[in-house]
Amino acid sequence: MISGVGWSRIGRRLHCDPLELAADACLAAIHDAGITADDIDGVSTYPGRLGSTPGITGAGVDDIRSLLGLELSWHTGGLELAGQLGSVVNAVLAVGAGLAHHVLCFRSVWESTAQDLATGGRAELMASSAHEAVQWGRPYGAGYATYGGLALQRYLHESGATRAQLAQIAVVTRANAAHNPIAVYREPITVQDYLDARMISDPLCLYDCDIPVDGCIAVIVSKSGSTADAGKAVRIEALGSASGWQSSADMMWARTDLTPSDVDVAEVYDGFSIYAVHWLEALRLVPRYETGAFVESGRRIALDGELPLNTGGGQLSAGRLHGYGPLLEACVQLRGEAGARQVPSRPEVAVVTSGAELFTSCLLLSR
Amino acid sequence: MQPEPVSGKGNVWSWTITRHRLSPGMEPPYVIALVELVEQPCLRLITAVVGDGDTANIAIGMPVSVAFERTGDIYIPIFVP
Repeated sequence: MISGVGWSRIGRRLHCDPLELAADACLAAIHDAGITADDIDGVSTYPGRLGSTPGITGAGVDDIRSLLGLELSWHTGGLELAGQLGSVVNAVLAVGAGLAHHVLCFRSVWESTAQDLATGGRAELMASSAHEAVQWGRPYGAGYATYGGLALQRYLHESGATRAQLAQIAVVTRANAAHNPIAVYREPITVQDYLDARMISDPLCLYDCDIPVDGCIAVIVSKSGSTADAGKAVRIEALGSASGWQSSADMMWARTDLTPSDVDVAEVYDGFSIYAVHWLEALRLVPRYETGAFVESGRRIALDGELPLNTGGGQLSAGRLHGYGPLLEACVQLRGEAGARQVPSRPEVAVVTSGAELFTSCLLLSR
Repeated sequence: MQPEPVSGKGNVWSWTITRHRLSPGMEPPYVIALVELVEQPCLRLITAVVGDGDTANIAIGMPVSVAFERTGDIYIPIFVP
């Protein structure tokens, strides 16, 4: 189960020490779970310390171990996981295997400040990345947005959906963000704003892209029934760790008696809005190639709609915390603590996804 | 496992016009495409498609063939209609 959640300040160009943000979030999650740092015997994070793009990691396992004075019986941090929430999948395995009782999982970023400090902005940071997936696109000037643009172009071609239809994903989740105090962008936008927005990688526009931020979100994975505050516990009903949107979703559904029609709230990875489309369809929440028509009015994915989507604003409006944003929001919704953005028919089942393409995982949560 | 020669022919699987500066030394706009080689379904290459400069001419399914652009002693595969 997830026994506690915590978050630091989350914002644009905070220019503060990323270790501070990471420690804040971790301590908040420990406090929320009703335990102390002495109870934490496992740590799991994505991607941990590595020679990657500056800003992509605000803190690694060793940083948090030293900062909080943890005595660990198990830990892991790495890039080659089942999506960013593969770090939570690993924690579930460690707890299940009895290697740890309470695993602190966190995602810490300071991309916004790193981009601000780099004179050449995002492009300069990309050039310094040693990530293998990036190297093949580099001679052609490809960046991450290129892959979003290619995915969106192909989807529009295959499905017959229009940009005006899919615009609702950005518009509705921005409306949700208005009620989320930790979302970075809370001003409403309209479908017309979306259509007028500048192109980043045509047909992918500004509002299709998530927002680099500074901040940290942490959750505690514990053995069921092992913490004082059972009222806060969120049950991990099933998970999918297979590689690929469809395989990951299919694996998750094969491991539970629940079905897509049981999902009360969907918190899906929206690094680009087209990734949310792929997740909705892979999870069988929306029939294949029908997301355009499904989201067109905006009503069905609104807070009071049949499938509330990214109720905290998603990464498009709340910021790129790499799957931990959706996870936090799902826990808050299931606990009924989402305030003005609380889904009115108190949700009992939430689905959370992370990653894209072959770097994927999903979690089915219940209260 | 060993490399095998391919014909250099393929079809545009998807494409995008880069409008935002994503890479040092590359000034937008420029076209990037996923080209599926004729030899094998799902064998796709991230690459550039270079035509007469008019990006409106590119379309999904369009047949293209390889050309090589020399940068120093490196030959980079690009595709032309």
